[in-house]
Amino acid sequence: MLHAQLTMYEAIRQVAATRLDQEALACGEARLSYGQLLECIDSQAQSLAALGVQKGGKVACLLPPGPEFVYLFFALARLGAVIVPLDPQLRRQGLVDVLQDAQPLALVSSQPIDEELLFQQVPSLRHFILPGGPERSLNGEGSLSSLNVLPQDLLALLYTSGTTGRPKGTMHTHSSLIAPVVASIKLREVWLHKPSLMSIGQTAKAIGRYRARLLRAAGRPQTFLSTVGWHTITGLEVVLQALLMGDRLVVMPRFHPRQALQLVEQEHVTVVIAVPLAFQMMLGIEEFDRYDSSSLLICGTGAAPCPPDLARQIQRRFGCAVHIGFGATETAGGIAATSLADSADRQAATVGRPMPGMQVKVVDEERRSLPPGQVGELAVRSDSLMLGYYNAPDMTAQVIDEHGWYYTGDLALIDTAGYVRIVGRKKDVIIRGGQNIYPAEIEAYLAGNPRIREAAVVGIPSPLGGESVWAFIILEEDVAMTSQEVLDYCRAALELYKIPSQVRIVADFPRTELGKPQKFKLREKVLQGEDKV
Amino acid sequence: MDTPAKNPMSFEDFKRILAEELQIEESRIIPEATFLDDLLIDSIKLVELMLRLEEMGFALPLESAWDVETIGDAFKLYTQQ
Repeated sequence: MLHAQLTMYEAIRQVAATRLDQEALACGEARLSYGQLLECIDSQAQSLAALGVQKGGKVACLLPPGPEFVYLFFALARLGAVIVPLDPQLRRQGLVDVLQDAQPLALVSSQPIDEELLFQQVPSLRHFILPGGPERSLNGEGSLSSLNVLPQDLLALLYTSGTTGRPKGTMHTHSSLIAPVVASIKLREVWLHKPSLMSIGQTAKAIGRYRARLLRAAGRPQTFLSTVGWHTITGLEVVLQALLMGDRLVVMPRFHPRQALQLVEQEHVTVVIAVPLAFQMMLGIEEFDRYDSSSLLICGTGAAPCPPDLARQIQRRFGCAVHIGFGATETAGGIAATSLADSADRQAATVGRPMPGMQVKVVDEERRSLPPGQVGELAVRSDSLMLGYYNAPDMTAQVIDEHGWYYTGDLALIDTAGYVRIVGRKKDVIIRGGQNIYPAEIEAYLAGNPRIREAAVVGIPSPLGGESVWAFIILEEDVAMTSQEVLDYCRAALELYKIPSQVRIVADFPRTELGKPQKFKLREKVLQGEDKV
Repeated sequence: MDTPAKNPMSFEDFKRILAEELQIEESRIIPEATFLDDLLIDSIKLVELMLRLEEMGFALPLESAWDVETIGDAFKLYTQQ
C-alpha cells in the first residue's frame, strides 16, 4: 500500500514488484515493463554513484519527457540525491541563473551545450551528461555508498518564475511528492475499486453518466497520456500518478494536438492531462470526429483557468468527465479537483472540492478565517506542501505561517457544499498557456534599459483563452525608442513565453493617488479598444 | 472571416504583414528563419498570429502552429490553402 512515509525509490519498487511484466511506459515504438524500468533505474543509479553523486547532491535535468527522465528521477531518489528538472527550452541566461541558484553537481541534457562555459559560470558543476553519450567531467570519483535515504529528505527543486526576477526553487521531499498520489488513490478507490455506502449516491450518478466507459475501466490499470512538460509540477505529478498507481504512461516528448488524438486512439488512453489551451487545440482539429476517443474516462485540466464553455465542450465532444484541477508548485500540484459525479455546471464553474488530505480555508487581510461564501485569500495545509523556497527563508516565511498554512495568493470562496471557486488573484501574475509569469520580473528587466523610465506589464485575455503579455512603456525624456526596439530588447534575454505580445509606448499610466500604475485601467482600455492610452 | 483573400499574397506581402504583426525587422523575415530559434516565436504566439491572419482573410490551419518551423514553411502552407 502506497503511503507518504516511503521513499520514492521504495514506492516504485513496491509498485513494480507485483507487476514486473506489466507495461509501464510507452514512448513511440519503445515499450518498457515495470521490471525493465526498475533495471534501468538501478543501472542509472550505479552510473551516477560512480560519478560521485551522493545523498543531497543535486543534478539538473534538461531532458524532454521520455524514459531517460524517468530513470534519472528514480535513480536520484534511490541515491537520496536531488533532481532539478528544468525547461528544455530555457535560454542561456535563464539556465545560468537557475544553475547558479541550485548549485548542481551535474547537468543532464539531451542537447549539446557549451559545457566549458557552463563549468566556468557555475562553479559547483562537475559533470555534463548526454544520455547515451560519454559524460564530460572535470573529475570522476565516488562509489555507491551505504544509502540512508529518508522520506523527508529533499528530492526535487522545482523552479518557478519569481516575482523579483530571481527564480524560486520550491523544495519538495519524497513525502511531499508522493502525498498527491496517495490522495488520488483514495479518490480512485471510491470510483473504481471500493465504492462505499457513503459514496453510493455519487457513484450511481457517475455510472448513470459514463456507464460503459466506467465499467470498461473499472479494476484495470489506467493509461495516462501526459502532454505537459515534466519540469512542471503538473507534468511531474502525472508521471508519478501513473507509475506509482501501477498504471501505464504514454509519453509525448512534445505536444502536438493531432498526435495527441492519434495517441488516445492507438494507445486506448483513459486519462489525458493537458492545459486548457491544448484541449482547445485538440477540439479545433478539423477531423476531430474521425479519431476514436471512446476509451477516455477523464480529461484532466488545470495550470490555467478553464473557461466554462471549454469545459462543456471537452465533456460533450470527448464524451467523458472533465476534472478541473487547481494547484500550485508549492503544494506539489492538486489542491482541489472536480469529480466524476459533479454536475456539468459544477465541473465548469468551480475547481471542485479539496483533494483528500488537503485542508483549506479562506482568510481576510489579517489571515483570519472567513465563513463559507465570502471571498478572501485561499490558504492550504497538507503533506504535499513544499519545505520552502531554496535559499530564500524570508520569501518562505511570507507564504508559510508557523502552523504550516500556505497562503496561495489566489482569491477564492468556498461554498457551503465545500466547492472551491477561484475568483481572482491577490498576487500580480499572468497565466499564459499554463505558465505563470510575474509582471514584476519583466518590468524590472525593462526598467534596466537606460531609455526606459517605467514599465507596466499586464495580462490581456487572449482569443485562445488565458492571457497575453502586454507591456506599456514610458520613455526617458528626449529619447526615442520604438515598440519594435523594446521587443528586440526583450528578445535578447527574456524566456520566450515572457516576451510581450504587444508593446505600447505611452506618455503616462493611469495612476493611484500614491502614483502607482492602475493596471486594471490599462487592461480596460485595451479591452475597450483604446489601447493608445 | 472565413473566406481567404481573393488575390494570393506574394512572399513580399506576407513578409511585410508578418514583420508588422510580430514587430520584427522585415530583413529578419527570410524563408530560412525559424519561428522558434531565430524569431523567438513559440507555438502560442504563432497561433495568435494565425488568428490575426485569419481575421485579415488569410486562413492557415491553427494546428499547423505545431508543424511549421520556418517562415518558408508558413508561406508554403499559405499558398497551398
